[in-house]
Amino acid sequence: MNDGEFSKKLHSLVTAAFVLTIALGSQTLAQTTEVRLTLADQTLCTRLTSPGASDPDRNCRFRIWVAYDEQDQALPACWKEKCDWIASVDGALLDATVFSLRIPGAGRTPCRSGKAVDAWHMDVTFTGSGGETTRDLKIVRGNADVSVDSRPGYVREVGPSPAGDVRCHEEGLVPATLSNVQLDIENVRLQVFPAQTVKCAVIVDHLLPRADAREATEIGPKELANAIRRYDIEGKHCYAPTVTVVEPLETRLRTLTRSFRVTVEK
Amino acid sequence: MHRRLFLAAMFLAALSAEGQRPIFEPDDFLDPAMLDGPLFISRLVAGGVWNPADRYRPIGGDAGLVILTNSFHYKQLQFDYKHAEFIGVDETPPLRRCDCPDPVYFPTPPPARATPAGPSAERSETLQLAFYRTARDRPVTLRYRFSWTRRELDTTVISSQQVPERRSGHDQSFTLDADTHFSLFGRDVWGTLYVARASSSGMPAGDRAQNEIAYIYRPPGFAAGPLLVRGKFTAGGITGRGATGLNLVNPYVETIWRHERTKVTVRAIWSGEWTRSGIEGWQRNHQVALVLDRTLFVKTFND
Repeated sequence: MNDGEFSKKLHSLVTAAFVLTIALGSQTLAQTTEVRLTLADQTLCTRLTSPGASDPDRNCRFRIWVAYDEQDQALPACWKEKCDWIASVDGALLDATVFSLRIPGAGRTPCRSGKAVDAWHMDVTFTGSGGETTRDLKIVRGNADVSVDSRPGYVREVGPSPAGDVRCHEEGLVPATLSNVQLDIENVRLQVFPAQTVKCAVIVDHLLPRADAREATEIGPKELANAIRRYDIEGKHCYAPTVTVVEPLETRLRTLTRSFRVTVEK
Repeated sequence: MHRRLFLAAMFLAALSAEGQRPIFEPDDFLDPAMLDGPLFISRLVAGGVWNPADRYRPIGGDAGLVILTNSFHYKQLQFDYKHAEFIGVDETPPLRRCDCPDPVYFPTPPPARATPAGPSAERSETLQLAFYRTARDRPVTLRYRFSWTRRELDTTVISSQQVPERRSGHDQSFTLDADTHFSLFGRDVWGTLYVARASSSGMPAGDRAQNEIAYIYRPPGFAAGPLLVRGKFTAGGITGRGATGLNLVNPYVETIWRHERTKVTVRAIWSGEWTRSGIEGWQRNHQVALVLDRTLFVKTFND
């Protein structure tokens, strides 16, 4: 085999491998995992499969909702037979994936891990709902907008029960209302936003030297007092536009602020 | 319950008595958040005013003025004592009385359905009590203030018997004003609503009284170089001059310049006052003032 033939065969091999990879990848991406959800609680099963028990849907006779992977975004699951529902999840799932059912009128079930049947099928069995009582918790004070924090605003934790449930939780920013909380099985932790005293502030950008000037500028009580005075008459503070007396401002700022020199460099 | 009673009493007190402050008086709003402790401040204002008026009652002649203001701020409270001296005002001229069965005075004072004359007094005293309220959940600070101003008025009456007779009277006004704030199309709208009563008594030719209720719109001012410019617009009604409904329109423009070295603030003010009475109809008076204002003394009592 001369170099030309070798090069040609190598090129064909690489192309074939590329096409195969793309095809397998596409298939993998397009593949969904079918999750069989079985309710072991016969009473609950009967209730959920009785006429009018769930939202009517053309393709799904008795629909319930299932949350997985610790997210509160529930997927629809369609009733198949007896006490089994089927949900489709994009991509492959791990054995450790945690599921929880959202049951109309009964809140949520405790969390269960799935058991893989094969690469694209998984079974999960639920023993029952967490309880009959659900509550909507209204957040009276606190608003996620007022705080930029990496910590979640709320956490809902569901602990394990002796029947083989697993601990799971979901979290997010504080909404106005936390819906369908089952205090029987859930611990809800909310971030507390400490009350802050309302204060007026003044922006002193205009006091800074221009970048191209490269000159140091003195900013002290006098400059700040004048900035505050200007803000006052322009109505940018917490009160009606007013002509402020400068001296009390200077007196106070003198005790609080030391003058500083500012230089802006490019 | 006590709070309601207190508010009702303040409202009634204001209804039974004055209004907008004289144009030459400087602003004395001080945000309580800027206080480190109790604060006392004394200021001196001097200048001149052309076509002066007091509570929309014209005072004859131009006047020079000197005002000493003393303010004490403690937390959300503000107490003021203001003394004003007017120079060159036409003092109340001697009245001549004919000894008729029904005495007649000359010059004849304005009739009941006309705009009353303002008090021609050489000095006035003012006491004020103000309360600042800052909302807890939003950055809004409003001031509520009660003012009492009093002027002594002495009049000489000369009868046909040529025996001068001195009459002591006074003019006083009570005002309750409240800052207001609301949002309109996402913009802050600031203003002041006030009710006032002004009355003169002990006057030989008869007592006069008027009630005012008006809203002062206070739009944002602006800086034009070293000058600060701001305006106000007042609209409302005044009783006791024979015209009901809206009979007061008052645009106001003020220019402020501060001389940093001497710490003197120079203020040039124009106040166009359109008022309506039953006899004269709409009348206008252009008050113009040029005043200098300087802080004499500031003392903070830190805790």
